[in-house]
Amino acid sequence: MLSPFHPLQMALGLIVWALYFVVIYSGLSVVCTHSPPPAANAGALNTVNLALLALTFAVALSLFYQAWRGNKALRKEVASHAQSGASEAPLPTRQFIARIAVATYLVAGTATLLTGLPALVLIPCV
Amino acid sequence: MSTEDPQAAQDFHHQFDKVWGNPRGLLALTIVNHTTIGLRFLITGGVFFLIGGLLAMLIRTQLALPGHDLLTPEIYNQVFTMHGTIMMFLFAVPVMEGLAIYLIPKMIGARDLVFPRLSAFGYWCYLFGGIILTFSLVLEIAPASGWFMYAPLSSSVFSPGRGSDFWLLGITFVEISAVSAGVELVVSIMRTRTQRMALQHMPLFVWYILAMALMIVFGFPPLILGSILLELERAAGLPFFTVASGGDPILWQHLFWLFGHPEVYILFLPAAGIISTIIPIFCKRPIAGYRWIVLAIITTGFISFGLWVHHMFTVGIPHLAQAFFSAASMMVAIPTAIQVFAWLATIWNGRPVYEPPMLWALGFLFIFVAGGLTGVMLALVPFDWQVHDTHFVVAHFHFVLVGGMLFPLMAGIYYWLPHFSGRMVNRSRARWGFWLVFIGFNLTFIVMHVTGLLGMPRRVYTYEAGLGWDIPNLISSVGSFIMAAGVATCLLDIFLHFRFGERAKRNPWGADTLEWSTSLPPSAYNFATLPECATRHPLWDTPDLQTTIEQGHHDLATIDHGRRETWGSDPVTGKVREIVHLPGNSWLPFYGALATAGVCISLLCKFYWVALAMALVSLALLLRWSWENGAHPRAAPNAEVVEGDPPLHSRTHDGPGLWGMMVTLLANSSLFLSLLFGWFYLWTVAPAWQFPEHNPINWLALMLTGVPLTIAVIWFVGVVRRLRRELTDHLQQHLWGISALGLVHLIGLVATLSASPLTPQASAHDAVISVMLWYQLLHSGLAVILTALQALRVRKGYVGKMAPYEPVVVERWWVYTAGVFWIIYAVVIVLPPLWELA
Repeated sequence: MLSPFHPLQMALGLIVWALYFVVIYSGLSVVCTHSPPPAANAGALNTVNLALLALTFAVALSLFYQAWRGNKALRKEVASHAQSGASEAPLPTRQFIARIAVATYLVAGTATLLTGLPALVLIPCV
Repeated sequence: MSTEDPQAAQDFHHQFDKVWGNPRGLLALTIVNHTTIGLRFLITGGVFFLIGGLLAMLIRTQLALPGHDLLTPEIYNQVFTMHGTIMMFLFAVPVMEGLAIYLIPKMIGARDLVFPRLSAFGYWCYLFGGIILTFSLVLEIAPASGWFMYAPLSSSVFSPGRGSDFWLLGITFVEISAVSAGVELVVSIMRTRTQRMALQHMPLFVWYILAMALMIVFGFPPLILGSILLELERAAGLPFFTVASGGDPILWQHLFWLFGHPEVYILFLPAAGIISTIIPIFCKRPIAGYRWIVLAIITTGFISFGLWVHHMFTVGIPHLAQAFFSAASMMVAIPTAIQVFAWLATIWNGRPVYEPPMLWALGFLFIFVAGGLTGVMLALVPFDWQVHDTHFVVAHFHFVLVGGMLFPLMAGIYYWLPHFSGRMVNRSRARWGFWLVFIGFNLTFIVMHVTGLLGMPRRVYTYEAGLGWDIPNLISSVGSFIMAAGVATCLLDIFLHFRFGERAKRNPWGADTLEWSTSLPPSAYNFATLPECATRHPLWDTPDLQTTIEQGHHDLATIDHGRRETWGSDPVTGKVREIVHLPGNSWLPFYGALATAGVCISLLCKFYWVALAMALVSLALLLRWSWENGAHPRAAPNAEVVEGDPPLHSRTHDGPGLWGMMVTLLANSSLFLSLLFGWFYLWTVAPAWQFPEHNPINWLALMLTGVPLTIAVIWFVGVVRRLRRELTDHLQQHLWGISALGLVHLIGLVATLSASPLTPQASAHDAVISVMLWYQLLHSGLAVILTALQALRVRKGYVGKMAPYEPVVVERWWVYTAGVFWIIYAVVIVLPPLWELA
């Protein structure tokens, strides 16, 4: 697993969000073109929306988990830094990367929820 | 080297001038130095701004009164199309890139950008492309389908003249410039920062430009692809956007706005970078929330790619899908708001001084926030439906673009003007200029919101009296002339300051970033010696930095080897890893761009054989350019460095060229992914799309052509692995062998393609497959040529154990080429029958 201090972590959360976004938009478009939900199942809670919501929650949870994991590693790093007596200023690069990465995962998780939640109320394919 | 003796210091700088100096006269066309190229971009962009502004004045004059007949409908269509096109493609993006090209090396403590010939090539492509496009106006055959060229209006059926061709070819040509600058800026920022400038020490402007450059790398290729496809439809009848043949005009909208919306942020981010630079200086305190701003930049860079469909809310997309884009469109306001609050907090906690740059920055805050708020309104689908294609939208995007780009740009120009010229502007004239533009702009565009809400549509050349639009239009027109007077005042001020401006003292604004530690105006090499920088505020922490740099107290002070050099550093920590040697002045970028302009003009004139010949000339020139690298006598034949210094980059396995290749492949893959998107989009959505009964491509023949390609890649990877272990036995023979194997694949591919009964003019299905295979041919062909050239370079002694760098770069191209081949195989041969089965 990629270290929480790897510079790619600063963008990884939003890369996941971007992939999620492409999947839900293209998936919905294809389903609506080729096999829309039956008219009897016309409410917001149908198989299409449930699948979208399940994916939304799964992606959001994994992003929040990554934020938690990064934060845990960051606290450990800060503690070991303080114990070694090193000065906090200027902020070491590893901590800078991890702090931005944790925030990015939180932003990406929240963005995922906000993007997918309309599936709770809107009918697909209309 | 370190001296405080004035004569010795002068000699020291004279030696640097001999290596780095710019020639004059005709030879000035060979200059590749970033300072000159950046200024050329800025000045050329300024000229295009005036042309675009003149067109805006024509529009406002025409609309000032109902029933006005200054312009015919045909000319009016050309005028508004060219106004948008010039402002977006020939002014806004190039000027921001020019500013970045000028500033980035100075801010990161480097002597030049990492690929100087690419900067020069990009500039010439921009200039020639811009001239070709603008020339269509003089001929009265300018494009007239709007700056977004929607199909089918822009197709040969509804726009039969050459106007759309000028747009498609000219813009594609100009985009070469944008993408090359994007690649160059990313690699320069990541790999040539001065000693110890870690990520957390980078000036915020550099963060913004890094995001902008990456967005260009990913955002421009969809439009390049769209332009190629539309031109193929117009010129050769390949029906990508024709419904009856299985195409779909909505595909064009997707490709255009996949570029078009990120484009807004490509303009806004550098502008916000200027603001984040200026506000702390004129408030005499560090910016509030550095990390918050970095987070906001990264977030904006991503989320802005999820908004493109909000330009297409009225084309018939399901409500739920619209809600995804509506949500993303509202979310993007949050990182923008973070930045606005950080700027306000900086002002609140500082002691603001209202110098001209600060006035423009505050003007930006007011206008951009207002434009952002109407943006949130437009993100709401029902509201968007009501005002779609009205003047409300025109007013909104002028608030965002003029407020979000022009005002910060003017702030930046006033701020860095002493850097360009060594002189200060006249504060009184500068204030007059600002207030005239500010008042004129608001008069024009605040009122235009009302005109839009009253129902006036966009792109109408006139209107009848009595609809309630007369007075607001007149006010907007008066406001636009006040704004024009403001622009003229600023220009006058800037012109006069070069002659009469007071001489600027060192670091005249009391800034904190490294660009102010050069001389004013700067020398071609920026810094005689390269300082360490482990702080965000080098000049506040070490005010005498300019003196110590000039006196040679820092690193990389040797110049008697005659090489142009700068540090190559670790992308994260800024620790120095190698010395990057840079090429000197060259005719090749100029000639290369000239030949590419020849391709463009020949295509416009439909002289296809001439275009092919010019393309080959252009390719030959670019290959010659690649030849003069590494251990070539015109590059760095002698690898000696001062004891204790790291090696030259061409003597390592990981120089900036490798990064350049990787970033270029990212842009390339963005184009390829857009093509795949087109394939899947037409397949799943186009109303008349049909798979033929039998796939026109022979699956076995195509698979067999992939075998030598795959073996060649595995072989190449093995050769590079051995090279890393310094095993170079029979290197030349290996490379010839790989090239020959690639040639076998290429011949097989051509044979398969010519044996296939493809009818690209009859169906979109065959047209897309044809483009995919041409794309593959191009990549395979280049892989063969590049590898043959490597073999020749081994023979000449330019590549080998002592200079192992280039095969590592070419290896990436092979891997990409093979990856593309098998993806094409999967989507064209494997997936369609599986879909039918499902």
